[in-house]
Amino acid sequence: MADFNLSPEQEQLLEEFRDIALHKIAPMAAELDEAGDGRFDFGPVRVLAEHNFLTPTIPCEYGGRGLDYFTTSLLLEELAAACAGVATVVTANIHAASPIVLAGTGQQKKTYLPLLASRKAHLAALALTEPEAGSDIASISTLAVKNNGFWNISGTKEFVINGGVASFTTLFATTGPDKKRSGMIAFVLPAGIPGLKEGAVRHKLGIRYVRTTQLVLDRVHVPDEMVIGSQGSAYLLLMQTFDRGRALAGAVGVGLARAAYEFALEFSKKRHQFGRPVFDQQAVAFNLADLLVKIEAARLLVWKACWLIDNDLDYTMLSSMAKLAGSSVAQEAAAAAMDICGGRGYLKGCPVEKYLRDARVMSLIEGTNNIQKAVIASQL
Amino acid sequence: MGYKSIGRQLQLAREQAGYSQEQLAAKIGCSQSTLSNYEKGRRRIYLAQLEKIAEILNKPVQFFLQPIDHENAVRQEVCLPAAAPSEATAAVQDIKSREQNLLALFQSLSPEGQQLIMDFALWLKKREVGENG
Repeated sequence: MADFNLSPEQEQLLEEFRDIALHKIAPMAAELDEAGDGRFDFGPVRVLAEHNFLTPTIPCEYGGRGLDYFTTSLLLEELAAACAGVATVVTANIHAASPIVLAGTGQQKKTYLPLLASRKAHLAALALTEPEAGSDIASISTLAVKNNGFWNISGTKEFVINGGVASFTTLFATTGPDKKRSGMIAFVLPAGIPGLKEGAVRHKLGIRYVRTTQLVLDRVHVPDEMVIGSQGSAYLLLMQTFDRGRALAGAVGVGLARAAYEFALEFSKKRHQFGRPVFDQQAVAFNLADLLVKIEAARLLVWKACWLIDNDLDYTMLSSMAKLAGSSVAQEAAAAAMDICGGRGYLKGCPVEKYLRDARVMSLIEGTNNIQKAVIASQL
Repeated sequence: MGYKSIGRQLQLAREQAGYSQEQLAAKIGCSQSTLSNYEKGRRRIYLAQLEKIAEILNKPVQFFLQPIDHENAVRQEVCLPAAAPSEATAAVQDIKSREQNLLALFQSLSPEGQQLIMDFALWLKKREVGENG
């Protein structure tokens, strides 16, 4: 890991992906944002699916690229620099697939993983949060009751990314709220299963491309074959999914921060005030220098966390650090970029105002930043 | 975050099965310090590892995730007030293996046996209170 050179294969892959992100995704970003939460455009995900980049971690045996987390983080940084919303959709796919990859049955893997590697742009959703259970996930109340060999699931899920447009949903429920962690259970539910309905579409400040909805489960009737993992293992499965996903969420933050930094740098060199480029003002140049240090530091945390995941080492603390650093620098860079660009950055249509709105959610999703600090502190 | 409780259950199950940390660590292929950190909740145990441990210790995975408040359970049994959260965290770490063994024995008894123990403990407590005035 002390060698920071990418392999020739990684260089080539990154070049191919950067071209897609820069020339096919970035030009759509403003329009996707403007269209808002109400309408989901499959265009960008189709572009990614055509190149099998929509869920790059799907193992090769199921038709995926089988990329490790480190390489995936490189791609997500590029994608987030182009459009944080599209990058969030990809991380949601990875997140939803993770419990199946980690603990799914052979049949579940054969049925669902190839969908995410298909050229037909299938999405997946992970449904966990509830109106009354956010950070306190052991308090979920969506109830799964077993009767005559079948499960009946009822409840309401909130903030489901890819809700209503996913081909399948990885759902976490409880067999009894008093059982807390030991009562948690995970299911994979195909779209269209009777009783599973899309609820309200959530309209957001940023990452407006990302379709985020409620999901309502009204006596969804499923066999045992749809349970993911061994009995009682769902809580650990979820924590492990979070721990892995957070490193990638950090990569999205780094990508967004980099985009804001690069925009501000270019602007500061072109924009003249007091007879010279704004960049020549030491306050501006130092601000950019500080940002670059923080972006680089966050990226290194992301890389280390991903390296630990790929090598099956203890990655919990580093993943939380990566997510904390990535989301913090995204917000800081977006705010700094707006300061440097001044009034122009505040105008609709300028990428900076979108960066600022998109960055705000980074410290909320995939576990709030305070939760990341709690995870880190628990290991001290 | 839940992992301290998992760690306590892990320690309990290991001691019930009669393994030292070194012995169990060797069986699951990790270092003694890693296992110690699992038990203290300072390191998150991943699912595959816990499933391996569950098999060796002959416990279902749910056993390790049960919401059991050992420290307050012990305090309630001896009629002491419940500990404040920060105090509880420190106290839990100080529970002696003698007390944990007693708890393990208690849990392994039938409901009738557990009632007999409770009755005896209450009788003993009353007698001690009487003797001490």
